[in-house]
Amino acid sequence: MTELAFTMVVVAAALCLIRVVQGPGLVDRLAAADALGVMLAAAIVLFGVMEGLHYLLDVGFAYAVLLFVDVLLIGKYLEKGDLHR
Amino acid sequence: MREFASGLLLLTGALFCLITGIGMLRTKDTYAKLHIGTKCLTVGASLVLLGAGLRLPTGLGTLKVVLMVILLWITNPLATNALARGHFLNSRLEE
Repeated sequence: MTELAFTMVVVAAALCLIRVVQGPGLVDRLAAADALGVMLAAAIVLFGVMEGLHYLLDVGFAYAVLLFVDVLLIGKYLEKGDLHR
Repeated sequence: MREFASGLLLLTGALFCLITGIGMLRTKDTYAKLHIGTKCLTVGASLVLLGAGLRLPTGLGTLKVVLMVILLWITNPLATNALARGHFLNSRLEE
C-alpha cells in the first residue's frame, strides 16, 4: 500500500516537472515548481516511513520550510522588482 | 484497524496529488494553476503525511508529522498568495 502511494505521488511530481519544463509563462512554471516541491517533501517523508529511515522526517520538514521561504521571496520580487523595498 | 486507516488516508492523498499533477498539465490559465496548487495539493499532501504518520511506531515521529501538516496548512496558501499577488501587480504594470 505504501509503495503504491509513493509511486502515485512521484508520478504526479513528474507530471508537474513536465509543466515546469514547457510552461508558457513564468508564474505557470513557479506554481508547478511549488507543487513539485510539496509533493517531493511528502514523498521524502513517505520514503522514510517505508524504509524505516526516520531521519528523513527532519529532512522533509526542512525541505518544506525552505520551499516556503523560496516561493515567498520570489513572489515579493515579482511584486516589487526588488528585494530591499 | 490502524493499517486500514493508514492505507485509506495514503491512497486518498495520493489520488489528490495525482489529480493535482493532471490539472497542472490540463489547465490553460495561470490563476487556475495557482488554484489547483493551493487547495488540491494541500489536502493531498496532508492526507499522505497523516497516513505516513499512522505507520510510525511511537510518539516523536508522529508529532513531527503533525507539525509538518500544520506548517503545510499555514505556508502553502501564503506562498501561493504571494505568487498570485506578484503576478497580478506585475501584469498590471506591464500594460
